Amino acid sequence: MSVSSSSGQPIALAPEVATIIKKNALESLTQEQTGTVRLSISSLVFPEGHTFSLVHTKMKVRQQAALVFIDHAPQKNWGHPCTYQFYHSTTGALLYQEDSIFPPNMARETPLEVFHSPIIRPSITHSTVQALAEFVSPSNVLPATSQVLEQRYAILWTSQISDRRHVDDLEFLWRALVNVYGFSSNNIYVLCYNGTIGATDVSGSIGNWPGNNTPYQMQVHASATTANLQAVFDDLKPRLKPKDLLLIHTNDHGSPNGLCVDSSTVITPTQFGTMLSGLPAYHSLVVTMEQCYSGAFQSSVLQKSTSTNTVFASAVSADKESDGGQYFDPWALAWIEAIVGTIPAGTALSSRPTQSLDGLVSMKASSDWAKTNDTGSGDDPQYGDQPTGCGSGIFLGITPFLPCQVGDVNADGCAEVVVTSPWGIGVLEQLGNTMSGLMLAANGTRFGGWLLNTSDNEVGPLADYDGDGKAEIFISSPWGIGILSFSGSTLTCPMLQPNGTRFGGWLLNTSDNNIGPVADYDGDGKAEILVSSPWGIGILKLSGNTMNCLMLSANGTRFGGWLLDTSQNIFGPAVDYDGDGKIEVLIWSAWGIGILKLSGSTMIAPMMQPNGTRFGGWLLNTNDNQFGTAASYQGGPVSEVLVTSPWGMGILRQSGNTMIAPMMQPNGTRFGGWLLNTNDNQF
Amino acid sequence: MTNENLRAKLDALVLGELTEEERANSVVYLDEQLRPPGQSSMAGQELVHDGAYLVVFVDQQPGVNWMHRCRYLLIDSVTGKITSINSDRPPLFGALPPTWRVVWQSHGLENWRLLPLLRPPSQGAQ
Repeated sequence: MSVSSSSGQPIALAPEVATIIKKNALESLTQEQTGTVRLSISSLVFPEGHTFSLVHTKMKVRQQAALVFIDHAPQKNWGHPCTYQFYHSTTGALLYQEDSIFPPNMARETPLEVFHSPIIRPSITHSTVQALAEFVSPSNVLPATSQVLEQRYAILWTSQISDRRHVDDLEFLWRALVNVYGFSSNNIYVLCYNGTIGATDVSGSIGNWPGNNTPYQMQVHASATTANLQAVFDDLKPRLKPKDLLLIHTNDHGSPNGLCVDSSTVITPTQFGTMLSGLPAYHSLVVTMEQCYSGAFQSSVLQKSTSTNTVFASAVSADKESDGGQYFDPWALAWIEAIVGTIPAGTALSSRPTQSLDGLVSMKASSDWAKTNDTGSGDDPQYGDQPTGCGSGIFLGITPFLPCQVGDVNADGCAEVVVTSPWGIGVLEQLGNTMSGLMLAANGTRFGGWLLNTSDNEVGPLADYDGDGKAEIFISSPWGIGILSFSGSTLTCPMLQPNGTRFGGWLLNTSDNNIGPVADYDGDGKAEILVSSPWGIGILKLSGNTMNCLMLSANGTRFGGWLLDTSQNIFGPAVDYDGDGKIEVLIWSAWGIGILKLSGSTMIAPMMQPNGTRFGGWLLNTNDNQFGTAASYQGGPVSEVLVTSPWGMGILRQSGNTMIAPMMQPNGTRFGGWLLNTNDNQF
Repeated sequence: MTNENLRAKLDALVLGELTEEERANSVVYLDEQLRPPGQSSMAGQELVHDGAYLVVFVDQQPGVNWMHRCRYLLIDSVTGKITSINSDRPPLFGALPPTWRVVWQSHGLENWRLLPLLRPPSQGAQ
């Protein structure tokens, strides 16, 4: 695919026209389409006669125009249905459109900026394990998420002397990243063998992937040479941003000197460290290595990484050979199974990795699971992270929100912090220029009926669930849920219930229930829990030693105009958006944004607006808008929500059935001395 | 001496050179292509051999990723003298040419752990 010009060269599209075109393109979508299609825009204006070569056909631009490209099935391999929309280069009006099955940038010759894609949070929950098995087989993709704010990249390597099993490991990982975690295939650099899907022990056609006997899906970027690996690092330099993640997986033979490239060349740990050190600052680096002696790379990876967080895991130490297998290498197989939740054929794992937060599998948890389940008798899995412990908070999916672990647990007017570790739990309170420990308890301690085990207990959010003026600690585990109350130097447990309990109509199942946000939705001075599941949502309220359910609604319910779908909806900050003393919750989807309010035994939507709406000057686009902390920024009873985008930041305030933006400023603005840059500012 | 007798004698010679550990956990391959005397390169090492010789490859950790423990036995075609050379890599990455055959496979060792062997063209066509 290439762009050629028969009458002049493309010129740059004016940014203000691009903004109009994006808005027009978004408005041309139906609500259903917003959840399925991906929109991109070219920064160029193409002259009449420009020709896009689209594999088997050509598309000629009829008149000078800007291009919006609509991918109708971003989860599928090309070719598949897509639409070229051509817009007037000065007015931004739609001129005409043509359908195709190939994009204009298969070889990146026509750069496109993605400005809309479906947002689906790819959480790995118990409930989705069965579904994940499905994802590993057919191309049933979770579309790429946070395309602008939080990109995820990967380098997958297997050398020119690879056996087929190494290539098959790479294919499993590629499917995991693209089909399960929503990595863009454009962000995955596969350096494989001689630039094709092949191996030294394969003669003729390689046939199907043995994992589930289907054709290979991974797209090979280049052959596995030192120069090509360096070129990939060079390509990443301008692409990596401060919030991004980079995964590097090598699956290959290795020598005591380094990672094999061919039968006579290796990449040494020092060389590899030098490549890493040339990258700019970014958020997280995860390096997993299968080859023999791979542990030799640990120190150089941790020392030379330019990321804020670095995780290293390998099949063996620096002095050992890694085991192979008939179809896959056992350690790599186990590690990939851990992050996917299935075996290659798609069957759910019989034992699951330890999960965190909303059921996500961290890099530490996946490495632990791989170590336990590695069938290679000669393997000796290694693990390290920098800063120490950070691997427990690194996920291949988008970073989940952490539940609040701060609250006034003893009603002294000061907030305390609940802290956990592999050892146990503690409650810390500021004392002058240090902290004091109000209580601490080791794992194995019983708080009433609750058995503390921080390896699978999730702590928080803290809130005043019983209205006594003190914050209680919500706690959950694979067994069920509890509420812990600070009492003297320990914790009591006024409520605990196992999974399977019915709270009114709500069936408790911590494997697929997402807890929060927690807030006083009914205005009685006690906090309730908004809980969601693949079935729908509910609001749970503490009642004696159990919970009852103020509201529950199945997916498909309409709250006013808002169509509930917990697979597509994301719940945001819960505050008092209208100043009536009751708490409302922000909700958004690929379609737009809304505010939901408890009303009797259901919810209403006093505000909902689609993407493309202007809140004052702020252009709503839930694809790249990130909603932060909500609070009363202007004082008074009404709270506003902080919003950021690649353009800048704003504060949005409910105003009737829409929002206004009392403050919005673009990146580059100085707030006093602070230079706003939402690409690296963390709110 | 028939080819069969010669093969049996060679096999016995090779087996006699294996350690107990190698008999228990290895795969041994013999290249029946006689190699000329002089300087040659094998598995990344430079060799000088006075007489014509046969090469035996002993994979001591079959199925494990390379590089790993292995050794070569060079059998002098006239004297039958055997020279052992330690190594960490196979004769080549990928399938061994049709002149190679398996001399020894430890009991219970799964077939996937063997290096692939190219079949002669007459067999390959079937």
